[in-house]
Amino acid sequence: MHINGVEIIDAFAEAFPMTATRLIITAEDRFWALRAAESMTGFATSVIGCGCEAGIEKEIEPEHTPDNRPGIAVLIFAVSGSQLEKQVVRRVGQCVLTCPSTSVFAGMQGEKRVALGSKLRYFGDGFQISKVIDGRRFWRVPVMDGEFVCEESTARSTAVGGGNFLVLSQSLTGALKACESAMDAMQQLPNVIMPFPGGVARSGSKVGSKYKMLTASTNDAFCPTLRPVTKSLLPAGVSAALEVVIDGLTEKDVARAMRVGIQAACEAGPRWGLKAITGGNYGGKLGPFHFHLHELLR
Amino acid sequence: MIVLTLKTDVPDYNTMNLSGIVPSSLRGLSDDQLRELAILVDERPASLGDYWSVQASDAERLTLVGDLSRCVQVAGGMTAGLLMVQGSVGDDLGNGMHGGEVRVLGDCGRFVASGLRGGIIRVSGNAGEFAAAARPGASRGMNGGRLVIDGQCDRWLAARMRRGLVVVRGTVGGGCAARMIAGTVVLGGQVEQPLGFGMKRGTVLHLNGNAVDLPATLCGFTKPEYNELSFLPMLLREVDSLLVAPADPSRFVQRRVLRSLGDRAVGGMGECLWLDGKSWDSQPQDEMPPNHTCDNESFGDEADSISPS
Repeated sequence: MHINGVEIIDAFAEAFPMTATRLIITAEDRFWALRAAESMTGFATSVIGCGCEAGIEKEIEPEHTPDNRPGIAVLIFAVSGSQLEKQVVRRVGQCVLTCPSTSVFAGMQGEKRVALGSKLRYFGDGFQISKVIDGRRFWRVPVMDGEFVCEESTARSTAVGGGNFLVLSQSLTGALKACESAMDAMQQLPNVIMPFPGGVARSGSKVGSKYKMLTASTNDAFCPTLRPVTKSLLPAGVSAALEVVIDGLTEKDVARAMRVGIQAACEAGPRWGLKAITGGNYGGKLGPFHFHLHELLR
Repeated sequence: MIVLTLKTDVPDYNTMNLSGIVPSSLRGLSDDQLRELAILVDERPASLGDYWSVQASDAERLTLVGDLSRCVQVAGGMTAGLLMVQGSVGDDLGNGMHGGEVRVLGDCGRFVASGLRGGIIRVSGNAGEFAAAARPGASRGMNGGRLVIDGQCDRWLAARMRRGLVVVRGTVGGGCAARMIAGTVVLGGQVEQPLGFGMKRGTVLHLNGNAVDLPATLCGFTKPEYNELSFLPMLLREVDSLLVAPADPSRFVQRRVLRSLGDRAVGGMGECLWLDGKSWDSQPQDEMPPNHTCDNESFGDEADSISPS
């Protein structure tokens, strides 16, 4: 299969189950809401080393936020509900509570809950105030710029992590340009985040290592510098590979993001030397979600 | 819809207890079964049919028609559905109510919503003493849900109130929020002193700050200061959704209020808020529902057209 001259390799991307929540961060203006969201979703590229994967989903206009202020929606993914709660409380406490003028609200509703204000309220040292508004409980925690308003809890849902596609290009510049085009298109979609820097990882990994203390190590099959000494999966003429990683609330969301991203990359990539697109997998042993590129793009 | 109309040619009585006469318990009953339902009249068992004429059809709505000012515990134990009263009701409206909606096109007696746990009660007329307040001997009053009174409210509103939201559009008598434990009271008109004495927690919000007495007169409370409260637009939006007049989105950006904490005499941290009246005063008076009448339009299109007998 080819799109705009770019080969779509008959491969599949492998993803795994996660649990996720959405938070709405609002502030006096867009600047501060964005600062809090960026801070909160920092160092959240991979559950392996960061405890969670997080990113900014979208900006929200004031008329659509609970307190009529500019808002940012962030998605946080973790491997379990307890891990998710641990990360949410820690990150909101350190990055949103501390940020001037911010408030934080649940961004999804459901039965399974993740603590938020119910734990952060103790910062108020007894001066915190609870308010139930329209059936939702909020905590008002006194802080130096007034009050930090925080919803009692947020909901969590099952999610899909690790959706991906690999961009194979004649040059690093070409690979970067293709990924940038993909990201521009994918960032318009709801319910997904791309947790790595700029949405892209260059350090694709394989399971295991020659070193016993590591559970994952560099994916030598896609390292251009190792082509002569390893069983390389890079087509001839390819000198750079980058991986776009996608977490989504549903399998459908991830599939749509992959489709949109690949099409955008193929539209812009050829003039920069984009050669092929493939999917990253672990032989089907890692997760139950398999996104076959040919089926996805048919 | 089930319509129960209070008969006029019945023996005189002092009180009629209507606890349990709610939409969910009447659903699916025939006219005869409805007439056989037990009620208490002057604390003695009686049949519903002895005092009420029954007209039933399949629906979730129950309408009570007549002068129910001697009927107590109307909507008692209600959990769901809609109960409309076309006329005034007596004491203890909504006692033990956990859900659903009650609309009274008239006045209500004492202790309205005192036993409310959930759901919403709307009263188009006036309310008697101890609305949302603890009954004598009880440690707490209203413990959830919402109460909206379009008219005036007598003394001791929200005394020992524990949880929930109360909105009163008209004037309020003295003793409001006395020993209040928590919850929110929103006032649209004048309020008599004393206000908030012994208040522990909770919020009293004056919508029209310009129209009430200067907060400096509030005994036991801190000197009022201007604060910016970011939760306020959310509260104002909910309050506005409970009122009849159409919402003006510009009202929901207001965060600056005069705020006073008390009652410090008992170490209380309750808050009295005075909203700058300008934005709420801009609401045309003729859009407000009449305080003392019982017209159906006060409750919009869903109101029944049945006239009191």
